[in-house]
Amino acid sequence: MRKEALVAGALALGLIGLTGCGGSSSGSTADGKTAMTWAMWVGGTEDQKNWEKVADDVSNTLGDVKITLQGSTFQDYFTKMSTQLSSNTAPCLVAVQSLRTAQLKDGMLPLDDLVKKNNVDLSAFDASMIKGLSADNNLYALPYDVGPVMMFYNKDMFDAAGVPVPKAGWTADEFVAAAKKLSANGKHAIAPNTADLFVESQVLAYNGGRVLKEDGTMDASDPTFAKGLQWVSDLTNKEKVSPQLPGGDPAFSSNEFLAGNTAMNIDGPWSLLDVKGKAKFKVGVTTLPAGPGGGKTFSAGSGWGISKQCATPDKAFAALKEMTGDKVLGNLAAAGRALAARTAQQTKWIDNAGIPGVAETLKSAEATAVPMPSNTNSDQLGQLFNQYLVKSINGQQSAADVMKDIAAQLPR
Amino acid sequence: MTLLKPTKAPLAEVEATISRGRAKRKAKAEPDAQLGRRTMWGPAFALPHGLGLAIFTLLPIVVSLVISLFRWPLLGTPSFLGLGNYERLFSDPIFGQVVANTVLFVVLYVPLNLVVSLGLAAWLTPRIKGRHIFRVIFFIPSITPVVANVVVWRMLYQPGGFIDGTLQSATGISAPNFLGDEHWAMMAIVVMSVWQGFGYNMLVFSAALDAVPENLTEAAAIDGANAWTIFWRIKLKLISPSIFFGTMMTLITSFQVFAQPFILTKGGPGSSTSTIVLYIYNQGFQFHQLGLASAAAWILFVIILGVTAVQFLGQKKWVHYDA
Repeated sequence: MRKEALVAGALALGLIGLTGCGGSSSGSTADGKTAMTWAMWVGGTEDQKNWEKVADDVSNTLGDVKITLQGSTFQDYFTKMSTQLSSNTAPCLVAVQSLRTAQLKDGMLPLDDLVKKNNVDLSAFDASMIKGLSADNNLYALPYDVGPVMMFYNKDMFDAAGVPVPKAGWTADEFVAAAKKLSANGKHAIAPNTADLFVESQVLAYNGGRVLKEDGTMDASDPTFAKGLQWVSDLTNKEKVSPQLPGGDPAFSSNEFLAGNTAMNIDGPWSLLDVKGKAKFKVGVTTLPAGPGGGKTFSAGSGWGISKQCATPDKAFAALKEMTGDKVLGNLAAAGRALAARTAQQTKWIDNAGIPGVAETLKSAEATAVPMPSNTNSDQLGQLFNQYLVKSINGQQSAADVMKDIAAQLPR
Repeated sequence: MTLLKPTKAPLAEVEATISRGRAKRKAKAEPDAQLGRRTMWGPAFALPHGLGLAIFTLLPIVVSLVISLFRWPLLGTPSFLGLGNYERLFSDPIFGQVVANTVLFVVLYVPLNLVVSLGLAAWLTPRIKGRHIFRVIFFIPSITPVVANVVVWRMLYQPGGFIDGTLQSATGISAPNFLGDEHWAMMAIVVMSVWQGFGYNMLVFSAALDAVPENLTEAAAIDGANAWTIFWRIKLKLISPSIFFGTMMTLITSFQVFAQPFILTKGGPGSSTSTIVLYIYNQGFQFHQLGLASAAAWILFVIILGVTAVQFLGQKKWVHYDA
């Protein structure tokens, strides 16, 4: 009887043990291959197919590795990845965005030694991305895409309003003049965008104000940035060329653009072909309007690295090398998913975009692009932008006061 | 008044009862094999639940208390702070505002929820045709995923949305920017939450009202009481245990409000709709400060515990269990 009770207890313990098991960072498949999971953000069915193809192609090329995709939405990805890295349940291969490198670096393996050991030529990649994916002088990921922040526009709305389409290098004054003509009958020129990368790029192009300094430090009380943000807010309150923000909705600007309610939207090359596919109008691209003291734009991109928990870092690096090789990045560029971080493959994306002027815009934007530095508090800044910029854009508080409130909440 | 007639059992019957009692006590003192087996199996069957409770509930509670005493980044090495996180929270004006926002939500939401749910439950008497259909309709928002509800309400609230559009076409006046204006945002969240949450209490109250004995209300009606007096003086008192239960549960869940501000406003404009649980989520999973998040969670726990204790103490004055 005692034995029966012990068996029952042991069974119960076993069941609980099973439910407590998480996924391991790598293991073996039935046919003896090294199984590894690759965490990546996925934007929809098409995106999922693209990344699954990459996983399958690389697995087939290497032969001894089986890569499985672990997809999540971009909005949830970094929360999930931070939690996985901290709880020893992270996959071997981890995607990271350049402006969030510093945030994940403690859970990731520095790649410098593996790069040397495997003779990877870093000069074949866009230099700003190698810098963007580095922190504390260590490289944490090999880049797959890159791109300066730019302005997308609805060519049909420009034509209907009789406004000539903007040319790369246009000024803030030209932008406001065009925006006034485009804002009529309930439509607006552009919707406010509170996403950190986009609003910071808009201000940088306008007057050079920046919260994230070149050395990666953060200064939310920068007066030039506050002035630039006031100009952005005045587009809603003074110039009336932007609608009010309906609360903290990071997708508001792109939704309004796709719905044909606004004529322009700030975005990156990584979204261009997706937007072109969804839009029921002709899409064009140009540079961000440049104001006095501005004229620059931030560039950002993403790459793939290896988590510290990965039991087979050599095999994971072999996979990384293949995933960021000419073949895979060339295919991704040709499929329109990513403007390749390998400069030799970028023309494939430009040719596939089929958008007139995209090559000139990219050339012009890239010439003025500076890498967006990463900082451990970038997520906090992004969250505070989402909460607080509504107040300055909707005219409830001056941009300077809003930035003062934001600065007070950031760790010093 | 009933007069109880004292009964006298015959002597033999009394002796038999005593002897049965002795036999039972004897059996207890000397456990047989059957009883032993039962004693063994009992804890064995309880073990999975007990272990589950210990591992998934008690252990995290203790761990969160420990974490709250550390600077504990999600990635990196923790360092001991003592009560540093609590000191920081008590001196942080933003956390003060977050607590005030949560209290404001509770103060607005709980009474509104109770009034709406009780009002509809009172209306849905058996005399109402199709009351079961109404009950289902009113309950649907409670079982629909909150994210879906919130997305629909955002379309209602936004400038150019349903409310603004209707108002403009009817009067030519624009509605306020409900979610984009710090003076309106919390109210908008409360209204949406009441719509989402009243169904559960309505069902509980409706079932309780159905259980009120008809003879009491009939007797009151014969004595000349009108419908209002019957509801106020009889029904409401008889269903007071259900109201107490509804109030308790609504209070506890409303202190934990998260999804509505998280999706509708992200806590903004500014911090005007930032609630304690949203603050905990942001600190823990967005800003990676698990120690601070745990300390805030313990403060929330103490607030809820205090409010619940006050409720229990106060119930003696208005809850009637002796119906």
